Amino acid sequence: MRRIVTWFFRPSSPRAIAVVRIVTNGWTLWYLAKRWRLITRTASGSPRDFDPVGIARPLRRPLPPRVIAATTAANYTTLALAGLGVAHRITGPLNAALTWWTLTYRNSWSMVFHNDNLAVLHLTALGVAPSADALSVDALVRHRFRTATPQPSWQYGWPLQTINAVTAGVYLVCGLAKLTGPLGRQWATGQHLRSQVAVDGIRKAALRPDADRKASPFVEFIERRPWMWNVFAAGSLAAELGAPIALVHPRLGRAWSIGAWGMHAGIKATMQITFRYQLSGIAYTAFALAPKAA
Amino acid sequence: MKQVTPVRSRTGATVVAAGLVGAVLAPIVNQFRDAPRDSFPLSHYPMFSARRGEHLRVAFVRGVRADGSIVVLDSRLAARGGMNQERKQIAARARRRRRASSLAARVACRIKRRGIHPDVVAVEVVRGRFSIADYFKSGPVEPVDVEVRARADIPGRSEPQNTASAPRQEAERRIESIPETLP
Repeated sequence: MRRIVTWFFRPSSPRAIAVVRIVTNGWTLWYLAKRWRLITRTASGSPRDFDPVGIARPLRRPLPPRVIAATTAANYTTLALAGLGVAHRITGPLNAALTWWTLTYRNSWSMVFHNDNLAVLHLTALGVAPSADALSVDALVRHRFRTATPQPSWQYGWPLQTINAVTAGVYLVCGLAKLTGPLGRQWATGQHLRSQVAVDGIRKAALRPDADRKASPFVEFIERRPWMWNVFAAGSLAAELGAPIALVHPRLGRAWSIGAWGMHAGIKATMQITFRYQLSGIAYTAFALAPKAA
Repeated sequence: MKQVTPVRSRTGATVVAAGLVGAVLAPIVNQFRDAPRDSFPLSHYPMFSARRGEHLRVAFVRGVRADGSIVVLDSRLAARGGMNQERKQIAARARRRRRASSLAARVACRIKRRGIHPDVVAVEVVRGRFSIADYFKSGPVEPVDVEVRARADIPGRSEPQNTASAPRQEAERRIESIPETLP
Protein backbone atom coordinates (compact mmCIF):
# COMPACT_ATOMS: atom_id res chain seq x y z
CA MET A 1 0.00 0.00 0.00
CA ARG A 2 2.81 2.34 0.97
CA ARG A 3 4.53 1.74 -2.38
CA ILE A 4 1.33 2.59 -4.23
CA VAL A 5 0.98 5.83 -2.25
CA THR A 6 4.62 6.75 -2.93
CA TRP A 7 4.15 5.97 -6.63
CA PHE A 8 0.93 7.95 -6.85
CA PHE A 9 2.33 11.06 -5.15
CA ARG A 10 5.63 11.21 -7.04
CA PRO A 11 6.53 14.85 -7.67
CA SER A 12 6.43 16.21 -11.19
CA SER A 13 6.92 19.52 -12.96
CA PRO A 14 3.78 21.64 -13.57
CA ARG A 15 4.90 21.83 -17.21
CA ALA A 16 4.53 18.06 -17.78
CA ILE A 17 0.82 17.94 -16.93
CA ALA A 18 0.36 21.26 -18.78
CA VAL A 19 1.75 19.70 -21.96
CA VAL A 20 -0.71 16.79 -21.60
CA ARG A 21 -3.53 19.32 -21.09
CA ILE A 22 -2.62 21.27 -24.21
CA VAL A 23 -2.19 18.30 -26.55
CA THR A 24 -5.25 16.40 -25.28
CA ASN A 25 -7.59 19.39 -25.49
CA GLY A 26 -6.10 20.50 -28.80
CA TRP A 27 -6.45 17.06 -30.34
CA THR A 28 -10.05 16.64 -29.07
CA LEU A 29 -11.01 20.06 -30.43
CA TRP A 30 -9.60 19.15 -33.84
CA TYR A 31 -11.33 15.74 -33.72
CA LEU A 32 -14.76 17.07 -32.74
CA ALA A 33 -14.58 20.12 -35.03
CA LYS A 34 -14.07 17.81 -38.00
CA ARG A 35 -17.18 15.89 -36.92
CA TRP A 36 -19.63 18.78 -36.62
CA ARG A 37 -21.72 17.52 -39.51
CA LEU A 38 -21.65 13.92 -38.31
CA ILE A 39 -22.65 14.87 -34.75
CA THR A 40 -25.46 17.21 -35.77
CA ARG A 41 -26.77 14.89 -38.50
CA THR A 42 -26.73 11.91 -36.13
CA ALA A 43 -28.66 13.98 -33.58
CA SER A 44 -31.43 14.55 -36.12
CA GLY A 45 -31.84 10.82 -36.81
CA SER A 46 -35.02 8.83 -36.35
CA PRO A 47 -36.15 8.55 -32.70
CA ARG A 48 -36.43 4.79 -33.35
CA ASP A 49 -32.65 4.59 -33.61
CA PHE A 50 -32.13 6.44 -30.35
CA ASP A 51 -30.67 4.05 -27.80
CA PRO A 52 -29.27 6.22 -25.01
CA VAL A 53 -26.23 5.03 -23.07
CA GLY A 54 -24.24 6.34 -20.12
CA ILE A 55 -25.26 9.76 -18.87
CA ALA A 56 -27.81 10.07 -21.71
CA ARG A 57 -29.67 6.97 -20.51
CA PRO A 58 -32.36 8.81 -18.50
CA LEU A 59 -33.56 10.41 -21.76
CA ARG A 60 -36.74 8.84 -23.10
CA ARG A 61 -36.51 10.47 -26.51
CA PRO A 62 -33.85 12.40 -28.43
CA LEU A 63 -33.31 16.05 -27.63
CA PRO A 64 -34.06 18.63 -30.33
CA PRO A 65 -31.10 18.72 -32.77
CA ARG A 66 -30.57 22.44 -32.12
CA VAL A 67 -29.87 21.66 -28.45
CA ILE A 68 -27.14 19.23 -29.50
CA ALA A 69 -25.75 21.79 -31.96
CA ALA A 70 -25.62 24.32 -29.10
CA THR A 71 -23.95 21.97 -26.60
CA THR A 72 -21.44 20.84 -29.25
CA ALA A 73 -20.56 24.45 -30.08
CA ALA A 74 -20.21 25.17 -26.35
CA ASN A 75 -17.95 22.11 -26.11
CA TYR A 76 -15.69 23.53 -28.84
CA THR A 77 -15.39 26.74 -26.83
CA THR A 78 -14.56 24.98 -23.56
CA LEU A 79 -12.01 22.75 -25.33
CA ALA A 80 -10.25 25.85 -26.65
CA LEU A 81 -10.39 27.65 -23.29
CA ALA A 82 -9.30 24.62 -21.26
CA GLY A 83 -6.50 23.94 -23.75
CA LEU A 84 -5.27 27.53 -23.42
CA GLY A 85 -5.75 27.37 -19.66
CA VAL A 86 -8.20 30.25 -19.39
CA ALA A 87 -10.02 30.21 -16.04
CA HIS A 88 -9.21 26.52 -15.92
CA ARG A 89 -10.75 26.19 -12.47
CA ILE A 90 -14.12 26.54 -14.23
CA THR A 91 -13.44 25.64 -17.86
CA GLY A 92 -11.54 22.43 -16.94
CA PRO A 93 -14.42 20.60 -15.22
CA LEU A 94 -16.99 22.17 -17.54
CA ASN A 95 -15.04 21.00 -20.56
CA ALA A 96 -14.75 17.47 -19.15
CA ALA A 97 -18.52 17.36 -18.55
CA LEU A 98 -19.37 18.73 -22.01
CA THR A 99 -17.00 16.39 -23.86
CA TRP A 100 -18.42 13.48 -21.88
CA TRP A 101 -21.90 14.61 -22.92
CA THR A 102 -21.12 15.29 -26.60
CA LEU A 103 -19.51 11.91 -27.19
CA THR A 104 -22.02 9.98 -25.07
CA TYR A 105 -24.93 11.44 -27.04
CA ARG A 106 -23.12 10.72 -30.30
CA ASN A 107 -22.79 7.07 -29.14
CA SER A 108 -26.49 6.84 -28.24
CA TRP A 109 -27.68 5.94 -31.73
CA SER A 110 -27.73 2.13 -32.01
CA MET A 111 -24.02 1.51 -31.68
CA VAL A 112 -21.37 2.31 -29.10
CA PHE A 113 -17.98 3.07 -30.60
CA HIS A 114 -14.90 2.41 -28.52
CA ASN A 115 -12.47 4.85 -30.14
CA ASP A 116 -13.16 7.89 -27.97
CA ASN A 117 -13.37 6.43 -24.46
CA LEU A 118 -9.79 7.19 -23.49
CA ALA A 119 -9.90 10.84 -24.59
CA VAL A 120 -13.02 11.47 -22.47
CA LEU A 121 -11.50 9.80 -19.41
CA HIS A 122 -8.21 11.69 -19.80
CA LEU A 123 -10.04 15.02 -20.12
CA THR A 124 -11.93 14.21 -16.94
CA ALA A 125 -8.70 13.77 -14.96
CA LEU A 126 -7.16 16.87 -16.58
CA GLY A 127 -10.29 18.93 -15.92
CA VAL A 128 -10.25 18.51 -12.16
CA ALA A 129 -6.46 18.48 -11.70
CA PRO A 130 -4.21 21.56 -11.38
CA SER A 131 -3.13 21.14 -14.99
CA ALA A 132 -3.11 24.84 -15.88
CA ASP A 133 -0.55 26.10 -13.35
CA ALA A 134 2.01 26.39 -16.18
CA LEU A 135 1.92 27.06 -19.94
CA SER A 136 -1.48 28.71 -19.65
CA VAL A 137 -3.22 32.07 -19.73
CA ASP A 138 -3.92 31.60 -16.02
CA ALA A 139 -0.17 31.24 -15.39
CA LEU A 140 0.56 34.37 -17.45
CA VAL A 141 -1.93 36.37 -15.42
CA ARG A 142 -0.46 35.04 -12.18
CA HIS A 143 3.03 36.00 -13.39
CA ARG A 144 1.80 39.51 -14.14
CA PHE A 145 0.70 39.83 -10.54
CA ARG A 146 4.08 38.41 -9.43
CA THR A 147 2.70 35.31 -7.79
CA ALA A 148 5.41 32.69 -7.16
CA THR A 149 6.11 30.28 -10.04
CA PRO A 150 4.90 26.79 -9.11
CA GLN A 151 7.64 24.29 -8.27
CA PRO A 152 7.66 20.52 -8.96
CA SER A 153 5.23 18.89 -6.58
CA TRP A 154 3.11 15.78 -5.98
CA GLN A 155 0.16 18.00 -7.05
CA TYR A 156 1.37 17.69 -10.66
CA GLY A 157 2.38 14.05 -10.41
CA TRP A 158 -0.89 12.45 -9.41
CA PRO A 159 -2.84 13.58 -12.52
CA LEU A 160 -0.19 11.95 -14.75
CA GLN A 161 -0.29 8.76 -12.69
CA THR A 162 -4.11 8.78 -12.80
CA ILE A 163 -4.19 9.22 -16.58
CA ASN A 164 -1.72 6.35 -16.98
CA ALA A 165 -3.66 4.12 -14.58
CA VAL A 166 -6.88 4.84 -16.50
CA THR A 167 -5.15 4.00 -19.80
CA ALA A 168 -3.78 0.75 -18.37
CA GLY A 169 -7.22 -0.06 -16.92
CA VAL A 170 -8.97 0.36 -20.27
CA TYR A 171 -6.51 -1.98 -22.02
CA LEU A 172 -6.76 -4.50 -19.19
CA VAL A 173 -10.57 -4.59 -19.47
CA CYS A 174 -10.22 -5.11 -23.26
CA GLY A 175 -7.86 -8.03 -22.71
CA LEU A 176 -10.05 -9.58 -20.02
CA ALA A 177 -13.06 -9.31 -22.34
CA LYS A 178 -11.26 -11.57 -24.81
CA LEU A 179 -10.19 -14.05 -22.12
CA THR A 180 -13.61 -14.23 -20.46
CA GLY A 181 -15.42 -14.31 -23.81
CA PRO A 182 -16.64 -17.50 -25.50
CA LEU A 183 -13.20 -18.19 -26.99
CA GLY A 184 -11.12 -17.83 -23.85
CA ARG A 185 -7.44 -18.52 -24.37
CA GLN A 186 -8.17 -19.76 -27.88
CA TRP A 187 -8.34 -16.11 -28.89
CA ALA A 188 -4.52 -16.09 -28.89
CA THR A 189 -4.35 -18.68 -31.71
CA GLY A 190 -5.15 -15.98 -34.27
CA GLN A 191 -7.96 -17.84 -36.03
CA HIS A 192 -10.52 -15.58 -34.42
CA LEU A 193 -8.54 -12.49 -35.36
CA ARG A 194 -8.48 -13.74 -38.95
CA SER A 195 -12.28 -14.22 -38.87
CA GLN A 196 -12.70 -10.76 -37.37
CA VAL A 197 -10.69 -9.22 -40.21
CA ALA A 198 -12.98 -11.02 -42.69
CA VAL A 199 -16.11 -9.89 -40.81
CA ASP A 200 -14.97 -6.31 -40.91
CA GLY A 201 -14.03 -6.49 -44.59
CA ILE A 202 -17.36 -8.08 -45.54
CA ARG A 203 -19.30 -5.40 -43.67
CA LYS A 204 -17.36 -2.69 -45.47
CA ALA A 205 -18.02 -4.38 -48.80
CA ALA A 206 -21.76 -4.44 -48.11
CA LEU A 207 -22.02 -0.93 -46.70
CA ARG A 208 -19.27 1.13 -48.36
CA PRO A 209 -19.17 -0.16 -51.95
CA ASP A 210 -16.81 2.60 -53.09
CA ALA A 211 -14.16 1.51 -50.62
CA ASP A 212 -11.68 -1.22 -51.46
CA ARG A 213 -13.75 -4.37 -51.14
CA LYS A 214 -10.99 -6.91 -50.82
CA ALA A 215 -8.42 -7.71 -48.18
CA SER A 216 -5.61 -5.14 -48.00
CA PRO A 217 -2.17 -6.10 -49.37
CA PHE A 218 -1.02 -6.35 -45.75
CA VAL A 219 -3.75 -8.91 -44.98
CA GLU A 220 -2.80 -10.86 -48.10
CA PHE A 221 0.80 -10.80 -46.89
CA ILE A 222 -0.24 -12.27 -43.52
CA GLU A 223 -2.56 -14.77 -45.17
CA ARG A 224 0.44 -16.25 -47.01
CA ARG A 225 2.15 -16.67 -43.61
CA PRO A 226 -0.64 -18.01 -41.34
CA TRP A 227 1.64 -18.14 -38.28
CA MET A 228 1.56 -14.32 -38.32
CA TRP A 229 -2.13 -14.36 -37.28
CA ASN A 230 -1.01 -16.17 -34.16
CA VAL A 231 1.77 -13.65 -33.52
CA PHE A 232 -0.61 -10.68 -33.92
CA ALA A 233 -3.31 -12.20 -31.72
CA ALA A 234 -0.91 -13.26 -28.96
CA GLY A 235 0.85 -9.88 -29.19
CA SER A 236 -2.42 -7.95 -28.88
CA LEU A 237 -3.52 -10.00 -25.91
CA ALA A 238 -0.13 -9.57 -24.23
CA ALA A 239 -0.22 -5.78 -24.80
CA GLU A 240 -3.70 -5.55 -23.28
CA LEU A 241 -3.27 -7.86 -20.32
CA GLY A 242 0.24 -6.56 -19.68
CA ALA A 243 -0.85 -2.90 -19.58
CA PRO A 244 -0.59 -2.61 -15.75
CA ILE A 245 3.14 -3.39 -16.04
CA ALA A 246 3.49 -0.04 -17.81
CA LEU A 247 2.79 1.65 -14.47
CA VAL A 248 5.74 0.06 -12.71
CA HIS A 249 8.51 2.21 -14.22
CA PRO A 250 8.51 5.16 -16.66
CA ARG A 251 10.74 3.22 -19.08
CA LEU A 252 8.37 0.27 -19.05
CA GLY A 253 5.54 2.72 -19.64
CA ARG A 254 7.23 4.14 -22.72
CA ALA A 255 8.07 0.67 -24.05
CA TRP A 256 4.50 -0.49 -23.51
CA SER A 257 3.18 2.66 -25.22
CA ILE A 258 5.17 1.79 -28.34
CA GLY A 259 3.74 -1.74 -28.23
CA ALA A 260 0.17 -0.50 -27.78
CA TRP A 261 0.62 2.02 -30.60
CA GLY A 262 1.93 -0.82 -32.78
CA MET A 263 -1.18 -2.84 -31.99
CA HIS A 264 -3.41 0.00 -33.19
CA ALA A 265 -1.24 0.43 -36.29
CA GLY A 266 -1.78 -3.29 -36.95
CA ILE A 267 -5.55 -2.91 -36.51
CA LYS A 268 -5.46 -0.02 -38.98
CA ALA A 269 -3.41 -2.02 -41.50
CA THR A 270 -5.57 -5.13 -41.32
CA MET A 271 -9.09 -3.80 -40.69
CA GLN A 272 -8.93 -0.13 -41.66
CA ILE A 273 -10.29 0.67 -38.20
CA THR A 274 -8.71 3.90 -37.02
CA PHE A 275 -8.25 4.51 -33.31
CA ARG A 276 -7.33 8.14 -33.92
CA TYR A 277 -6.53 9.18 -30.38
CA GLN A 278 -4.23 6.20 -29.88
CA LEU A 279 -2.63 6.41 -33.33
CA SER A 280 -1.93 10.12 -32.87
CA GLY A 281 0.28 9.10 -29.93
CA ILE A 282 -1.44 11.66 -27.68
CA ALA A 283 -3.10 8.92 -25.63
CA TYR A 284 0.39 7.94 -24.42
CA THR A 285 1.80 11.43 -23.74
CA ALA A 286 1.39 10.98 -19.99
CA PHE A 287 3.53 7.81 -20.17
CA ALA A 288 6.24 9.78 -21.96
CA LEU A 289 6.17 12.40 -19.17
CA ALA A 290 5.52 10.06 -16.23
CA PRO A 291 7.23 11.18 -13.00
CA LYS A 292 10.35 9.29 -11.96
CA ALA A 293 10.96 7.91 -8.50
CA ALA A 294 12.56 10.52 -6.25
CA MET B 1 -17.51 29.20 -1.05
CA LYS B 2 -14.87 26.49 -0.84
CA GLN B 3 -12.93 25.91 -4.05
CA VAL B 4 -13.57 22.39 -5.36
CA THR B 5 -11.31 22.39 -8.42
CA PRO B 6 -8.51 22.07 -9.09
CA VAL B 7 -8.02 19.27 -6.61
CA ARG B 8 -5.05 20.21 -4.43
CA SER B 9 -5.46 17.92 -1.44
CA ARG B 10 -4.07 14.41 -1.13
CA THR B 11 -7.49 13.11 -0.12
CA GLY B 12 -9.16 14.76 -3.09
CA ALA B 13 -6.52 13.37 -5.48
CA THR B 14 -6.98 9.88 -4.04
CA VAL B 15 -10.76 10.08 -4.38
CA VAL B 16 -10.56 11.29 -8.00
CA ALA B 17 -8.02 8.64 -9.01
CA ALA B 18 -9.78 5.79 -7.20
CA GLY B 19 -13.13 6.89 -8.63
CA LEU B 20 -11.88 7.05 -12.22
CA VAL B 21 -9.88 3.83 -12.16
CA GLY B 22 -12.68 2.03 -10.30
CA ALA B 23 -15.22 3.25 -12.85
CA VAL B 24 -13.02 2.01 -15.72
CA LEU B 25 -12.60 -1.43 -14.12
CA ALA B 26 -16.19 -1.82 -12.89
CA PRO B 27 -17.67 -2.93 -16.28
CA ILE B 28 -15.58 -6.13 -16.00
CA VAL B 29 -18.60 -7.61 -14.17
CA ASN B 30 -20.60 -7.20 -17.39
CA GLN B 31 -18.39 -9.84 -18.98
CA PHE B 32 -20.00 -12.42 -16.69
CA ARG B 33 -23.59 -11.38 -17.41
CA ASP B 34 -25.80 -13.14 -19.94
CA ALA B 35 -26.83 -10.09 -21.96
CA PRO B 36 -24.63 -7.19 -20.90
CA ARG B 37 -25.46 -3.72 -22.14
CA ASP B 38 -22.54 -1.70 -23.42
CA SER B 39 -22.09 1.90 -22.31
CA PHE B 40 -19.91 4.92 -22.92
CA PRO B 41 -17.23 5.82 -21.93
CA LEU B 42 -17.28 3.08 -19.28
CA SER B 43 -17.42 -0.03 -21.41
CA HIS B 44 -16.71 -3.73 -21.07
CA TYR B 45 -15.24 -3.58 -24.60
CA PRO B 46 -17.07 -6.48 -26.21
CA MET B 47 -15.61 -5.77 -29.65
CA PHE B 48 -13.56 -8.56 -31.19
CA SER B 49 -14.45 -11.03 -28.40
CA ALA B 50 -17.63 -12.63 -29.82
CA ARG B 51 -17.33 -16.05 -31.42
CA ARG B 52 -17.63 -15.99 -35.22
CA GLY B 53 -19.25 -18.74 -37.25
CA GLU B 54 -18.48 -19.74 -40.82
CA HIS B 55 -20.98 -17.25 -42.18
CA LEU B 56 -21.87 -13.67 -41.50
CA ARG B 57 -25.25 -12.09 -42.11
CA VAL B 58 -25.30 -8.42 -43.08
CA ALA B 59 -28.35 -6.30 -43.94
CA PHE B 60 -27.65 -3.74 -46.63
CA VAL B 61 -29.29 -1.78 -49.44
CA ARG B 62 -28.68 -2.40 -53.10
CA GLY B 63 -29.84 -0.99 -56.40
CA VAL B 64 -31.31 -2.95 -59.27
CA ARG B 65 -30.47 -1.77 -62.78
CA ALA B 66 -32.85 -1.98 -65.74
CA ASP B 67 -31.07 -5.10 -67.02
CA GLY B 68 -31.53 -6.81 -63.65
CA SER B 69 -27.92 -6.45 -62.55
CA ILE B 70 -27.14 -5.37 -59.00
CA VAL B 71 -25.14 -2.54 -57.49
CA VAL B 72 -24.49 -2.28 -53.74
CA LEU B 73 -25.53 1.14 -52.42
CA ASP B 74 -23.68 3.14 -49.82
CA SER B 75 -25.29 2.72 -46.38
CA ARG B 76 -25.17 6.51 -45.88
CA LEU B 77 -28.16 6.67 -48.23
CA ALA B 78 -30.16 4.60 -45.73
CA ALA B 79 -28.97 5.60 -42.27
CA ARG B 80 -26.64 7.95 -40.46
CA GLY B 81 -24.00 8.05 -37.76
CA GLY B 82 -21.00 6.24 -39.24
CA MET B 83 -20.70 2.82 -40.85
CA ASN B 84 -21.32 0.64 -37.81
CA GLN B 85 -24.26 2.69 -36.58
CA GLU B 86 -25.69 2.58 -40.10
CA ARG B 87 -25.23 -1.21 -40.15
CA LYS B 88 -27.17 -1.59 -36.91
CA GLN B 89 -29.93 0.76 -38.04
CA ILE B 90 -30.38 -1.03 -41.39
CA ALA B 91 -30.36 -4.43 -39.63
CA ALA B 92 -33.05 -3.23 -37.21
CA ARG B 93 -35.25 -2.10 -40.11
CA ALA B 94 -34.65 -5.26 -42.13
CA ARG B 95 -36.10 -7.36 -39.30
CA ARG B 96 -39.65 -6.19 -40.02
CA ARG B 97 -40.91 -6.10 -43.60
CA ARG B 98 -43.00 -2.98 -43.01
CA ARG B 99 -40.02 -1.02 -41.74
CA ALA B 100 -37.83 -2.44 -44.49
CA SER B 101 -40.36 -1.25 -47.09
CA SER B 102 -40.39 2.21 -45.64
CA LEU B 103 -36.57 2.28 -45.73
CA ALA B 104 -36.45 1.08 -49.35
CA ALA B 105 -38.97 3.77 -50.36
CA ARG B 106 -36.98 6.45 -48.56
CA VAL B 107 -33.71 5.45 -50.24
CA ALA B 108 -35.47 5.36 -53.64
CA CYS B 109 -36.76 8.91 -53.12
CA ARG B 110 -33.33 10.06 -51.99
CA ILE B 111 -31.69 8.65 -55.12
CA LYS B 112 -34.33 10.29 -57.30
CA ARG B 113 -34.00 13.64 -55.52
CA ARG B 114 -30.19 13.68 -55.68
CA GLY B 115 -30.12 12.39 -59.25
CA ILE B 116 -27.49 9.78 -58.43
CA HIS B 117 -27.14 6.22 -59.74
CA PRO B 118 -28.95 7.09 -63.02
CA ASP B 119 -28.93 3.44 -64.14
CA VAL B 120 -30.64 2.15 -60.99
CA VAL B 121 -34.40 1.69 -61.29
CA ALA B 122 -35.26 0.06 -57.96
CA VAL B 123 -33.92 -0.25 -54.43
CA GLU B 124 -33.90 -3.40 -52.33
CA VAL B 125 -33.28 -3.86 -48.62
CA VAL B 126 -31.67 -7.26 -48.30
CA ARG B 127 -30.03 -9.55 -45.82
CA GLY B 128 -27.01 -11.29 -47.27
CA ARG B 129 -25.19 -14.33 -45.93
CA PHE B 130 -21.46 -14.16 -46.60
CA SER B 131 -18.86 -16.88 -46.26
CA ILE B 132 -15.97 -15.82 -44.03
CA ALA B 133 -13.60 -18.26 -45.78
CA ASP B 134 -14.48 -16.76 -49.19
CA TYR B 135 -13.29 -13.32 -48.10
CA PHE B 136 -9.67 -14.38 -48.42
CA LYS B 137 -10.16 -15.90 -51.89
CA SER B 138 -9.60 -13.85 -55.01
CA GLY B 139 -12.60 -12.18 -56.63
CA PRO B 140 -15.20 -9.77 -55.37
CA VAL B 141 -16.95 -10.15 -52.01
CA GLU B 142 -20.34 -11.64 -52.88
CA PRO B 143 -23.04 -13.07 -50.61
CA VAL B 144 -23.65 -16.81 -50.66
CA ASP B 145 -27.36 -16.01 -50.65
CA VAL B 146 -29.58 -13.01 -50.13
CA GLU B 147 -33.03 -12.50 -48.75
CA VAL B 148 -34.89 -9.54 -50.22
CA ARG B 149 -36.79 -7.94 -47.35
CA ALA B 150 -38.31 -5.04 -49.29
CA ARG B 151 -38.21 -3.41 -52.66
CA ALA B 152 -39.16 0.05 -53.93
CA ASP B 153 -39.09 1.38 -57.48
CA ILE B 154 -37.41 4.72 -58.05
CA PRO B 155 -40.14 7.10 -59.18
CA GLY B 156 -39.96 8.00 -62.86
CA ARG B 157 -37.42 5.37 -63.82
CA SER B 158 -38.24 2.39 -66.02
CA GLU B 159 -39.05 -1.05 -64.62
CA PRO B 160 -36.21 -3.58 -64.50
CA GLN B 161 -36.27 -6.47 -66.97
CA ASN B 162 -36.25 -9.86 -65.37
CA THR B 163 -32.78 -10.80 -66.55
CA ALA B 164 -31.12 -11.62 -63.24
CA SER B 165 -28.45 -14.24 -63.54
CA ALA B 166 -29.45 -17.85 -62.92
CA PRO B 167 -27.16 -18.31 -59.87
CA ARG B 168 -28.59 -15.20 -58.23
CA GLN B 169 -32.16 -16.36 -58.84
CA GLU B 170 -31.24 -19.75 -57.44
CA ALA B 171 -29.63 -18.21 -54.35
CA GLU B 172 -32.62 -15.99 -53.77
CA ARG B 173 -35.03 -18.92 -54.12
CA ARG B 174 -33.09 -20.82 -51.45
CA ILE B 175 -33.60 -18.18 -48.81
CA GLU B 176 -37.38 -18.11 -49.12
CA SER B 177 -37.65 -20.61 -46.28
CA ILE B 178 -35.68 -18.41 -43.86
CA PRO B 179 -37.95 -17.18 -41.05
CA GLU B 180 -38.72 -13.49 -40.88
CA THR B 181 -37.00 -12.68 -37.61
CA LEU B 182 -33.45 -13.85 -37.89
CA PRO B 183 -31.02 -12.63 -35.20
